[in-house]
Amino acid sequence: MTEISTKRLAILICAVAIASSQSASAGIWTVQSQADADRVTGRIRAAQFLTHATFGPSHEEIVELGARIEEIGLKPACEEWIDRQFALPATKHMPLVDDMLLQDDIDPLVFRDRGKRFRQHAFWHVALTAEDQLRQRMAWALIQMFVVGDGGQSFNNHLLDSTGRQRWTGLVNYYDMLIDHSFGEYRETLGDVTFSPIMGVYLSHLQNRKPDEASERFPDENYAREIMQLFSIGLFEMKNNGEFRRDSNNDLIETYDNETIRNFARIFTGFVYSRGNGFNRSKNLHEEMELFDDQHDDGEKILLDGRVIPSGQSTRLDINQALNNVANHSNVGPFVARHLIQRFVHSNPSRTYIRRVARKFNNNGQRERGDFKAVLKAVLLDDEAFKGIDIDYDAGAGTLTSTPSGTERSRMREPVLRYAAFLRAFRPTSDHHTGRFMIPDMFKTWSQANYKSPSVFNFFSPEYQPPGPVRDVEASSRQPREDLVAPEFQIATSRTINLTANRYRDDVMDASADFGLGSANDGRNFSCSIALDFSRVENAPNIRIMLRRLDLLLCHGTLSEESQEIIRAAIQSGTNDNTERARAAVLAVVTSPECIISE
Amino acid sequence: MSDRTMSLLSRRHALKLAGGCAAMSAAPVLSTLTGLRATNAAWAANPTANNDYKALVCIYLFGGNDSFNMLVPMEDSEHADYQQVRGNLALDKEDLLPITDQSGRKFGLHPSMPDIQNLYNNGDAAFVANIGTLVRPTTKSDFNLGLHLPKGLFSHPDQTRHWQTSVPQTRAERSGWAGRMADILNDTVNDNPAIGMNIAIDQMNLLQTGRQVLPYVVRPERLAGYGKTSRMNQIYTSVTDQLLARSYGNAMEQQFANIKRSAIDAASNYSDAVDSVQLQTQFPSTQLGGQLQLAAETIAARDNLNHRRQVFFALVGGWDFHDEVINAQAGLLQQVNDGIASFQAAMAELGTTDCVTTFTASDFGRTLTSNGNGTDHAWGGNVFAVGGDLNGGNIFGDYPGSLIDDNLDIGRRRLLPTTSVDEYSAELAMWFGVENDNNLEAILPNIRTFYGGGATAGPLGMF
Repeated sequence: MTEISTKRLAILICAVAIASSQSASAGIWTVQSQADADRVTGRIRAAQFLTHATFGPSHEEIVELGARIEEIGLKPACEEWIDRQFALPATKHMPLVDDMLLQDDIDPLVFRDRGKRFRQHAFWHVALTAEDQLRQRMAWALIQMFVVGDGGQSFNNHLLDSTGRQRWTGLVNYYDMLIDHSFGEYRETLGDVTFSPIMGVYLSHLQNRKPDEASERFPDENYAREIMQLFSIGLFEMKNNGEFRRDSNNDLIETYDNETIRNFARIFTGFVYSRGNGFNRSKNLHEEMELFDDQHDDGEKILLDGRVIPSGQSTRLDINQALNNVANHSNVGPFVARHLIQRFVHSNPSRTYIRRVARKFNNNGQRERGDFKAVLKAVLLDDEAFKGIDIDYDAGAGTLTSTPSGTERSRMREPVLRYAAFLRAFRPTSDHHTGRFMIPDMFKTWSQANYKSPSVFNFFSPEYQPPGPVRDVEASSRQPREDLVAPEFQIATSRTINLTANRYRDDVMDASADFGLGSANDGRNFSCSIALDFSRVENAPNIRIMLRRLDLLLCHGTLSEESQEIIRAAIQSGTNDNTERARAAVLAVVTSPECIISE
Repeated sequence: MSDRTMSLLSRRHALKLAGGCAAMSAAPVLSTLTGLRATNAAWAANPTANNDYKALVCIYLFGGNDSFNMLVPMEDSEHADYQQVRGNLALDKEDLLPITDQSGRKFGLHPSMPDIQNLYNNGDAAFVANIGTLVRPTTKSDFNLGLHLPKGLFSHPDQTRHWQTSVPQTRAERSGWAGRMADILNDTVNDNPAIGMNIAIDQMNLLQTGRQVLPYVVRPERLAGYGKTSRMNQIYTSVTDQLLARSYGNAMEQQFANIKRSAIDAASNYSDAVDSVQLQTQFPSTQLGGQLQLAAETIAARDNLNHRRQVFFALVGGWDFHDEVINAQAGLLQQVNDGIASFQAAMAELGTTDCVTTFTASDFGRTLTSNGNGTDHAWGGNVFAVGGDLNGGNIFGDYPGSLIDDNLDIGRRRLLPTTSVDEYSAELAMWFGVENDNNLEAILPNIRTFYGGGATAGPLGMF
């Protein structure tokens, strides 16, 4: 045997080894023809894409987008879908909250702070039903960057603020602001976040006063620090590809120091509530803060990149220039890119993926920076967004295999997204008299719910690495950092894992998600039951097809043959009743590791 | 016990088997090292021999306690300096709860802490003054030159991380000191493969995360239906077991399978152990009260759990007083005071007062100066510990003679710490049974910059 052929053989053996290790974790679909294969491929890709871009696909949506993918190709079909989403009107939460209170005949003042559950109802009803899914997903990603939570002072209070609205709806107003910006621009979002009274209270730049050296009083540094650390640039200088820059000693380079923070703290002085006079005004959690020049520090300040803000400028000019200074820092592109990829696609994007998205952030093609529409397309239509699943058609064998490509192209589903996808998969119908989905705060079950972040650091850290298999994996050379992260695992504790599984079990066993919602002062009790329709599962001719359908619907084709065989065998020998079989199958699939980890 | 066994034990397992609550009378029980598991099982079967028990309870005050309003100087000139620097945030002298240190120097506790005052006066509580994260002893000129400073001074996530890892020169350390302690001790001292030494109340934390050991998070919830005999539950149980037992090429899937497997086993193991104990002591219905009640119940169940060493982590948030420091802190300190008072009553009920040390930690102290009606992130602060084994009624470390001492002021009246977190942690680890040798160095890599090897007295003298 010549040297070359030895090499060939080695390659061949290697290829066989890879193929067999792949088939160990692949799903195999029986297909009759190329057309059949194209149809299945389209549907798997549609399910994958819709898992990234929505709160979870229904069967009909998978079929529709799958057909379009077959017709015009993967990216054109997905781009067309995105463009249609861009054109849809925004679904706002505040009007829904108001109408929900009205329909339930609730006098919010009498109902006191129990009214705040309607914030959750609005979020869930919109997540489950709104047409503008992509915009809503973007708002959900944005509030995990521009984080606020109901720990802010009086954010759960039922008393009226100076706009005549209950204080607890201030957070809804903040969320609607993010919804407005979801297809907008980064800098404008940062501006509205900064001027939001919710953020003003939450990070205490509201009523922040200029220094008074004589009495040793200095401006509050809270917002100054977090706007840089969490909302824009992070701690260390980054390249566009997310890699950290290093100095001549090979050390990381900090983006700012405490002097920078002190200068920004002086910038963020002079914010007051809207309406009224003077510096101390009545609470107003619904309208943009105003500026009060007498308490603004108008001295010279030195910001990022040595930018000097001269003394004697107006308060607004100071703040706007400072926000420009932050928003134009070269870290913002890769920072926002990594955040959005983690929230939409997977936890460990490669350097090239981050760079492609960051470049789109830096310049959308029309020399505009921070265009969220362009950035979203870059995130969702990138090759790497689809590479989490390899699909191979073997015409000879009449099979199509879908194989998850590995850890670096996976993420653990966030609890909220996982549950929304589960409900949306089974044509949910609510028994509430309005037909709305009155789902309450589920934070205690899985440590995540809108408005419930325990601090400005969100539910989990983007850098979290659980000890064990994930930490032990060596990152490939494609990665910007040495270690892989798995942020969502930070809230997957021994407690929440079982509680979450119990929730799914309760819902699946009687095909109904039931929620008690407490009582009103007049003695009325409230509840909501959401019926789930498993008929497509039940009507499958056999358990294999049952599981195949669930795989596509819930796991975008990533449930391996090995797992399907485990589930099939247990159900086959466990019960002959078709309703029971369907329920057992749904529960097994929705709680399986391969379904909880998404590609 | 043979000398050889003893030296092997301390070298390899770092457990100090003598002194205080840990007195081990039944020497023959540890006559061989091989078979420790069996030995521990034998201890469990013989509760009278199982008298070597210790627990640490960390109460983490997330957000940065304004601790110079928790422990206030009361000597006339010192209080005048305090009033000057704190301005509108200064507490009135007559409202403070008086205590004195061993030298007779007068201090005042925040008015919300009467039970801590009693514990202190009874010798069951001690403070550590002006403590902070340090890489090595640090002077103001070191600070000005930026020498050997912790990463991310004054930042919540960084300083929280450093308090828990005790390796403040890096943000890359992924294990906490109690986690590394469990890596070394766990298999030796406890015979429970499902529930390790480190028990986190309600949520994960870095302090207890080891290189191998993950904290067990309670309040436990059993997996409903699992192991039950109805037809549907049998399918569910079988599928669950098999899907968790198979191996996954994707590390995230394997990670999930591992933690779910241990969540199922530990919840049933823990619930079985704790359901059988009953405490008379009532706890306040606060965030901390509920957490300390769970810790107390777990301590009560220590024999059922085959645990001789336990570390608990409780967390109370809300200490980031950029605003409204006076009112907000009073409520939170009240919560801490009341929770600890109940916890100590429960320890008395269980007869474990001398076996359990509770200690507080917080991200950082805060600026002594005001930002209007709040304070900002700083560095050095004050903490305290409670427990029967403490050399209590003492203030350890160096409480500044003057809060307007320019040598400690690194700007905006942020105080340069004069005692390191390492010294505090070393006290706790050594009391827990870790020898002051390479074991302590493995747990606290910077310790030798503050404290020499071999000494038997702790670096601060807390025990």
